[in-house]
Amino acid sequence: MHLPDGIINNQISVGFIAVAVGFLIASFSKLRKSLTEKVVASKLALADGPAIESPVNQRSLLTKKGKERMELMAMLGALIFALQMINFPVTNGTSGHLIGGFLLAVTLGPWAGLLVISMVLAVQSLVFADGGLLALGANIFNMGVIASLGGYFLYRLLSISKLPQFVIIGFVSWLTVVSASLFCALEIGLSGTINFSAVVPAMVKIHSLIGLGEVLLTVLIIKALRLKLYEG
Amino acid sequence: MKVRFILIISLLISGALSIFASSYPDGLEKVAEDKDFLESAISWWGGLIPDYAMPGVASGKLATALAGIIGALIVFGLLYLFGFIVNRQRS
Repeated sequence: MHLPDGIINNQISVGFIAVAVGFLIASFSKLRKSLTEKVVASKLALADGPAIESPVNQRSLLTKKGKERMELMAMLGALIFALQMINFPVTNGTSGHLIGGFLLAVTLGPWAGLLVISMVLAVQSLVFADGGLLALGANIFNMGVIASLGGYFLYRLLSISKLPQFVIIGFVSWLTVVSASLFCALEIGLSGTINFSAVVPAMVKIHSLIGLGEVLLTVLIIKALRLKLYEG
Repeated sequence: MKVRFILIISLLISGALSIFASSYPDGLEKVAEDKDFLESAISWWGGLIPDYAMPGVASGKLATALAGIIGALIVFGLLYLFGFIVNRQRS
C-alpha cells in the first residue's frame, strides 16, 4: 500500500508530511521519557556539595528496560522490513504483504511502534524507491499513525471486554489494514486523481482480503517468537 | 527465545524467503491499474537499490537476496543508532 509520488497531489503530500513530522516528534519525546531516567542534580548536590557541573547530572540515561526495548525495536524493525518483502498472492493477479504497524505497536507500545514502522517506510522510500519521498508523510500516516497508534488504542479499548486477547489482536490487525487502505483511497480521491466512488470500494475490498494475511502473520509471529505484549 | 535470534530470522526472510515472494502487483497497484490511474505515478527518485534488486548483480535471485539483506541491516543499524540519540547528553 506504499503510495508512489504523483498519485496524491502536492498539497496533500505536504500536508501529510507536516502531520507525520508532528506525530514523530511527539512519539520521540514520549519514547524518550518512557525509556530514560534523569539523574536529578539536586539529589547529588545534597550528597556531596556543588557537584552540579558533573556531566552525569545532566544526562538522560536509558534504563535497563529502556536498553532492552531499544534493542527489540531494532530487531523488530529488521523483521518487519523483511516480512514486507514477502508478497503473498491473494486473488486474481493481486498480492499483498504484511504492514506490521499494529504488530509493532502491540509488542513495543504505540509510540515506539510508530517510530519503527516510520523508519522502515523511510528506508524503503529512500533506498528502494518503494513509496514516494513526497508521499512518505501520507504513507507514515496510513501505515503508522492509523495502524500503530489507532490500532493500539482500539486494542486497549476492546481489551475491556471479556474477549480472548488473540481474538482482539486478530480483529484489530485486520481492521488496521482495511482502515489504512480506506485512508489511502480517501487521499487519492481528495487529490482529484480519480473519483472516490471508484477508488474507495476497490481499495477497501481488496484490502479486506489482504488483511486476512495480516491477521495470520501477526498472531503467528507473536506466538512463534514468543514476543511479550506491551503493557503500558 | 533470545531477542538476537530475531535479526538472524529477519536476514533469512529478507535474504532467502524473499526470492519466493509473489510478483503480482499489490493491492494499491492493482487498483491503480484497474481504475486507470497508475500512469499518474511519477518516479523522480530511483532509490539506491531500485526494485529490491542489487544493481550490477546478474542473477535476479541473488540481486533480490542481497537487496533484502542490505535493507534489513540498514533498518536494524539505523534503529540501533537511534538508541544512542535517545541516550544522548542533555545540555
